[in-house]
Amino acid sequence: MLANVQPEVAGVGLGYRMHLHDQILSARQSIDFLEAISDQFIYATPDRIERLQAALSVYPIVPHSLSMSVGTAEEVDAEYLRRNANFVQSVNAPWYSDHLCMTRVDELDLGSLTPLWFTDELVEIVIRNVNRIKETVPGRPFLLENITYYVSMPRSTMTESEFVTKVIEGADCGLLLDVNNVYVNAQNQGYDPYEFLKRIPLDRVIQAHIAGYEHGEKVLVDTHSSPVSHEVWDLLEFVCRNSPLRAVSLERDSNFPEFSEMIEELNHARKVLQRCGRYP
Amino acid sequence: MSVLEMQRAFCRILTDDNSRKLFLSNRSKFLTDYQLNVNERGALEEIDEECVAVYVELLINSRIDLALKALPHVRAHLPSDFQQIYGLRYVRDYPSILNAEEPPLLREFRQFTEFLNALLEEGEFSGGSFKDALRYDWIIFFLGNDLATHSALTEFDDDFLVGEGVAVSAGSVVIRSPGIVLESFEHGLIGQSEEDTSVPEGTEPPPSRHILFLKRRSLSNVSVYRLNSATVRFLQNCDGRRTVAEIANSLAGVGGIAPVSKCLEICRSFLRTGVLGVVPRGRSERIDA
Repeated sequence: MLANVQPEVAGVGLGYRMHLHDQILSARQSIDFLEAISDQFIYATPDRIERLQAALSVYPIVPHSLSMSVGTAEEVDAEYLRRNANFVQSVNAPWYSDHLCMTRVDELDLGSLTPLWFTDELVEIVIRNVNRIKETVPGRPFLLENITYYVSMPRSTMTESEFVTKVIEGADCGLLLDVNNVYVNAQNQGYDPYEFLKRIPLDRVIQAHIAGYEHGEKVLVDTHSSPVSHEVWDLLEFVCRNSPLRAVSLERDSNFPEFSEMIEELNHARKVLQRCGRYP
Repeated sequence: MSVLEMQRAFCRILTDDNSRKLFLSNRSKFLTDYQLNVNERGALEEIDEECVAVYVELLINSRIDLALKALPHVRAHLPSDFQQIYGLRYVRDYPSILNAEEPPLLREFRQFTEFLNALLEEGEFSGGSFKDALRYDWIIFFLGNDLATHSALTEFDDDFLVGEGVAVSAGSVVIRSPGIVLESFEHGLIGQSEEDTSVPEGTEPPPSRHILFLKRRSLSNVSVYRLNSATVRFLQNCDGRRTVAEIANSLAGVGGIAPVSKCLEICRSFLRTGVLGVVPRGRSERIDA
């Protein structure tokens, strides 16, 4: 279990998107917190930071970064970590997160969350990198998120659930469980999502992501561009009943519906939390 | 650490289509360039070709989608199968190389814009409207995201009198904000609500449009205004050295806004919106034109 999780952040949150700023600010009764993509602010012009600060005056903000690349067999980029740590502290984040994947090798930026080889060596690499990350922001929990993957690396020596478990427990960090990713991976890789959930350390789940997927030609694709499916809602309820989950956030990145539709999805998530006795 | 070599090889396969072809035609030969142990080599040799193809497509789409988010007018000009036709070439010719001096989003946007310009030069896309759209979107994105511009704006706001209520007279010296760009466009890009910007085939293109882009320090968005030629000439002369009266006199007879009163009216409007600042008395001699 994780210590130091600030109790005031709980409930349902929305991924902060700049163009939704005004609508977000006027929806305080429907949104409990915001999740901000750190990468959009750690290099931004000061006016954008000021805009986020305006949101911070209304909502708690949870930073979520994209580019730590914890699975690359190299040192994590020190300058990126420094900027990220400044951002986490500037918004007084209750926790912060990134993804269990690699996004770069040497100087090559893949620009996408790329899966890791499920081996003990990679477990050790991720743990080493997470320990380095945690040193940069002492006292605030760090969460890793499970990603979707479309390439399965042969000769892995363990399953995805074993890999996730070894990393999360070995690095002593929290789990940001993307429930949509669990569903998409289960469909694409051919496993039972509930069995997967039973095998990972649900006692370390602090936050969950919900989102929509689309049907590609051959696979389901995690696009954040459609409504949350009923399968994902069911999985969220399962997670909620079997973990100390305290926060659920909706990710939407394209094909934006009316703002009220996103609020409806947040209300749905709130009801799930309420049914499980998790809504404050 | 050979797992790093494995990751290098894997990334190469995903991001470089020549390497990928080489790999898929002869995996063992391709992998001889990498220092791998038996399992690492075996894993890459056994990787599913179809999965690689799916992942490559996702990587390409992810990069192009990111760049296109900042190119709304360009997006409207691109063929629907743009990513299928040009995606592989884009990621091959413009690999995404980390650069501490340039934020990733700015880098992706710059590279994609360069790529589109290269396609234009090759004649892949015709029509000035595409070129105009590219220039237009580039200016908006750059003004909105460039840290140097933001720093210059901070200095401008500190050094000059800007904003609502600033007094201006014929003897005032006025200066343009560093947050403005003035450009002419041949094709309608903005104000689709103002007018129909479509140009039926066989007709003359619409007259040149003078567009003023304005980034203010306190606002995230870049504002866009259409100006007439006379106002453009006036604005171009606001160099921080001449008074409003001197500028008006220099423009008299050029088909411009000769009366000082008219120039002052424009000044007041531009001061309110932050396009211009007034140089405090005693400071004009220090401005390096």
